Amino acid sequence: MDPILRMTGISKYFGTFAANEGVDFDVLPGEIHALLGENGAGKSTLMNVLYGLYRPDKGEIWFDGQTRHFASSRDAILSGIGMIHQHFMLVPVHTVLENIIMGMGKEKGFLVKEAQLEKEVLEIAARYGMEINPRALVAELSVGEQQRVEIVKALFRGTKLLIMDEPTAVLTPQETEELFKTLRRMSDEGMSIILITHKLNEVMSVSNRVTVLRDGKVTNTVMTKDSSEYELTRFMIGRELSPACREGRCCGDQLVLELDHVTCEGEMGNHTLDNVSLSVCAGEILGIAGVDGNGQKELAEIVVGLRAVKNGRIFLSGEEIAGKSILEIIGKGIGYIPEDRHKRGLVLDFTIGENLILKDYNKKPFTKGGLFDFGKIHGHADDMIKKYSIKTSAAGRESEARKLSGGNQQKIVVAREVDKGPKLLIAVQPTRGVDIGATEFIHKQILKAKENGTAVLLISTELSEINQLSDRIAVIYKGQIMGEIAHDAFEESLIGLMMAGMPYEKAMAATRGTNLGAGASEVLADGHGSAQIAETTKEQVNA
Amino acid sequence: MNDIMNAAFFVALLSAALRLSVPILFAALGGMFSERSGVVNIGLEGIMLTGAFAGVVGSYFTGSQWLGALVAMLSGIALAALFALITVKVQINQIVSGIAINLLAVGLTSFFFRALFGITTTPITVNAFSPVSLPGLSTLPFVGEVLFSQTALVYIAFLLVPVSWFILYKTSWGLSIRTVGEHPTAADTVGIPVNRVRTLCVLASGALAGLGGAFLSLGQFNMFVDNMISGRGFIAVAAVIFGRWNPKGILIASLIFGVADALQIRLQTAGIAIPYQFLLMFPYLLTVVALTGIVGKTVAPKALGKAYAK
Amino acid sequence: MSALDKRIKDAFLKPGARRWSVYSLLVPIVSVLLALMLGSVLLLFIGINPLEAYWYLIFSNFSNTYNIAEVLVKATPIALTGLAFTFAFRTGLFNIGGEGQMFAGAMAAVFVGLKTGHLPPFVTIGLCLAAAIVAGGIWGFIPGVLKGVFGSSEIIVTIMFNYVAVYLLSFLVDKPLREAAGFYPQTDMIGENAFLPFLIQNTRLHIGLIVAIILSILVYVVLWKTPLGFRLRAVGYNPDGAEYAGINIRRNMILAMVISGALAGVAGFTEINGIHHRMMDNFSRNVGFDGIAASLLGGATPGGVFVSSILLGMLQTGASAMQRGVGVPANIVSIIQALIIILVLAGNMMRPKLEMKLKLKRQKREERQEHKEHQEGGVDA
Repeated sequence: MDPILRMTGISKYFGTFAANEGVDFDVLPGEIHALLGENGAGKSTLMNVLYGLYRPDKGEIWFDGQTRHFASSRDAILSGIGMIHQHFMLVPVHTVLENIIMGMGKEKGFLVKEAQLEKEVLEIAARYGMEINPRALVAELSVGEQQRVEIVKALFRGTKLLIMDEPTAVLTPQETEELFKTLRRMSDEGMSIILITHKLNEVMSVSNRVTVLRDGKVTNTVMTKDSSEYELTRFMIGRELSPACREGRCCGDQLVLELDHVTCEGEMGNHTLDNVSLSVCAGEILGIAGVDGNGQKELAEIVVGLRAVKNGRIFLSGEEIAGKSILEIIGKGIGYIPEDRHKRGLVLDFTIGENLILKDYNKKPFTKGGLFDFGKIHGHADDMIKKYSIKTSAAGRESEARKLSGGNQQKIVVAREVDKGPKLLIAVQPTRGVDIGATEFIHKQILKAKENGTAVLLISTELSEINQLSDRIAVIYKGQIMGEIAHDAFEESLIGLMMAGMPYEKAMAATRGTNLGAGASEVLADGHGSAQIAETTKEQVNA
Repeated sequence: MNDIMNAAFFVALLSAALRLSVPILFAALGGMFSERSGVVNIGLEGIMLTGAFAGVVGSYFTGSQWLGALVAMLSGIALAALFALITVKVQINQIVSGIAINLLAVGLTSFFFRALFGITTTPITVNAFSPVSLPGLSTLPFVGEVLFSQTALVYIAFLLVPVSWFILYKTSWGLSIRTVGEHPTAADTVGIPVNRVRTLCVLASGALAGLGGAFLSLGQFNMFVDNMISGRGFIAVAAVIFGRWNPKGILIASLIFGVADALQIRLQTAGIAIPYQFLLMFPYLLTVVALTGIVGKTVAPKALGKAYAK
Repeated sequence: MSALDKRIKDAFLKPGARRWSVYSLLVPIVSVLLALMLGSVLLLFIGINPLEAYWYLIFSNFSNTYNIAEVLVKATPIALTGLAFTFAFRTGLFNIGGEGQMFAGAMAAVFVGLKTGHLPPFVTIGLCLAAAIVAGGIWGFIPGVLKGVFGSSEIIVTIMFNYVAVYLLSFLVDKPLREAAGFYPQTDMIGENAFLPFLIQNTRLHIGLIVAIILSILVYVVLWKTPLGFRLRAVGYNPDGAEYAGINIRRNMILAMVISGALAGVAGFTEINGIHHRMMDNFSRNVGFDGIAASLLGGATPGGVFVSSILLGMLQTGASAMQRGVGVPANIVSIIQALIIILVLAGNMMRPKLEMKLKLKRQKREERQEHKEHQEGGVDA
């Protein structure tokens, strides 16, 4: 069978940096082809070239019968290529219909004929078994539903090749299965799909072929059924991982953080946190798993003092801290690695040195008699840069944080928050958007903090990260804690059900019912296995 | 005091209010299109000034106030084109660019006015707009004088409101504009030319603000004086916020300011004890009060003020 | 040069963490030249020889002591309102109300000057200055509070307050503070002891200039060398990050607006006590906006503001000479001024791209050179 897409010898340079070098990549009609690689390997660049957002410096694109030179994404769309980005390209305040038809003035006419367009949209959605409400506001939809809108948006434009960028980053395991079902149906109907991902188990679960990118070049293209996660990892990073090792130790003597029936109210009067009770002890890591947007942000913020609590109490080493000012709270020894380092963690236009003293600028030794002591500030910056291997630009410690890579920016945050040995460390998505080397480093820092007696509250949507580091794991769903388990009892399907809203007892019952007695590690290793289990589990639950 | 309270006073007041709201209405509608696409245009004041000047020049040299109005719109477009160049293409901060445009407009208008007409104390006479009474309707009691005996530009301004509404909400243009202002990246990925849409909206704001300025010089004061806009361009920017970026709200906001302006003038001549300077302050203070009542951020187009770069 | 002098010089040439290259001086110079060229088109349009006009514009400033002093006289209030805009700008706020805050300061200074002008100079001048600072601070406080509490755009509010100040001033010189003789809308002269001493005899240059210089240095030190400035700049760059650092956004925004207003208020003081010695209806119009222009030209740094205000002072003084000499309307200078601003801003935006392009060209050239040497060196594969 002839491929529907053939990219040959694609190279793209940014200055002297080769984001893609001599990449050959093809997709067969009706195939689900995974594009695998770690952050910065060149997957997004390659797809942006295909989608017309970048012009390749070398190489050719051949799609659906002709050689193509896409001058813009509009060209790509008109030719039949659709892309669904990781961060949805939807306007929250517009309706589903408006989002689907936007930009189609030429094709669909100057006047917006709502009734007719609604009909067309519903027809297309039905053909692929998707439910959709054209009149709903996108802001009111769940993440899975929004993704569906993105898919229909692509289908509405006559897409023949669909590119999906990290589609499952924001979905629960169950929603992921829904998505894969839809993708399989689309592929059966002849749609070609490129799946960009770094999640090995999903590659194994849903793709037909896999192409691995490393440092801008293709390392391998293999048939999925002929490969394994282990082999793919080796292709991706060229070596074996030495993951941070954690030694189990459950709730010890000293209680550092305690949340007692805490409720927090959101803008629309809903409870972003609902009766949450938690405790974290010195020298332990409590991991909070959950799909993005279920209260994780609020949980971190109320402990640090960035957000007010409606009901309930928060204790730090026995002292009540709810309602106190941020300055007071962090003064008691709390480190906070925020979810969005650009927003909360750093002032991008400040230098590394300035960012490192962001919390302590007012104190000795950095300030003396109302003026800064630059000797001490610079000295401190140099120390941290060395200790935390922060790669700076030519300006050294005077580099603006804006100019550093994501991993190095995060290292500044980690250095600042962890170095003084805080009593409590709150880490939210600490390795989001960070390359694999820095990820390892940051994980090791978190473990080191734990060994030094810091209590760690780790909030992450990456289950592998939670599993790797946590002593205990709690699952949050719509602001409530669904349940808590010890690390040894980790099972992805169990966690997955809790992430989707099932309380612990029910989820336990559901998973027990499928004879899971065997060790959790086997479940993790076999990607196919977990998918099957989730499938059968759901049937059991619905029965 | 009695003469304030009778019907004739009200009729004159409302008629004036309608008139005085027009320059703000024009400029604010223009500002709305610009801001809906994501570009804050505080240069409206300068563009109005340019329009006022160009309108007078056009009318003077052609003898026709309509051609004068046309020249005013073109001059507004020209200045807006410069503004678009520096904000959309070169991507200088939009506020700062607006300030620069205002400074340029002040200099250009006063320079060319003196260059063309010399330094005179008597204002030059131009053909201005005279009231057009709509047949039949203008004979209606009360409403007739207030609504239907205005100059042509007034009718055009008010017609512009439903037209703008239709364009913004019922056409693919409007959807593209709104998308660009909310989420330019999303617009880009579906092939909407973000910067072109923004430029066109800025040009539209220039045309409308220019027309608004021409209204002041050709339809209200019948002359050009330095700095004659007196802050109405900025009030228009406030009207966009107060009117929540949609034509209906902007109409109401403009009318409110029009009433304030009309009231202030009437009260001056009515012999009230308040010194006239304080009455002059009234529209500006009202704007401040209006802005405190509105938390503009939650309703503003999300990408407002940020240049779009891939 | 003593160590202190060197440090002060460094301070003005290397503000904050900004790094300067050859190009950063190139942009303002090219912009001025370009603006003058565009201005000459206008001059030709009205039949005036640009070279003759510009000769007056530029060189009249140096022709005698009086003119040099005049440049500095004009520059002083511009520098102060420019500092005001800069200070707020660094905190992320656009204070377009320098004009109104200056008027507020002037009104306070004149009032105090009229009432206390008979007291010893030190006392009365000090009181006038204090009053101007307080009044300007209040005029900045109101927009600041509205922004902090209601989120109202400080841009519009400060502009509105400009007009309020203008009318308030007009009222004061019309009625309550009107001169005893009652002919013109202006106040009486303030007491002689409240006059600012002159720096150079037979010119109008007064110690207000020294005040401006001191405040420039102070603003620099506060913004870049103290925790307060650190806080304000953090809020200006990233309010969310600053909030996490325990910085109270609202309080710091209000504080910035108060300080900004106070700085502009001082400009009112220098104009009243140093130049006019009374307040009249068309008092020092447009100085506030010139200050904004100076700040934009000067890259929102105290040193840059000071230098730019001298440039603007030169343009304005030269413009009067130009009008007397060749009959060109003085307001062509405001066009040139606006053009300079636009060109400087555009130049600064394009500078990094140009620098990158040049750097890449140089790199490619070096690579080609290496490749050639490699081949010629005869290293066979």
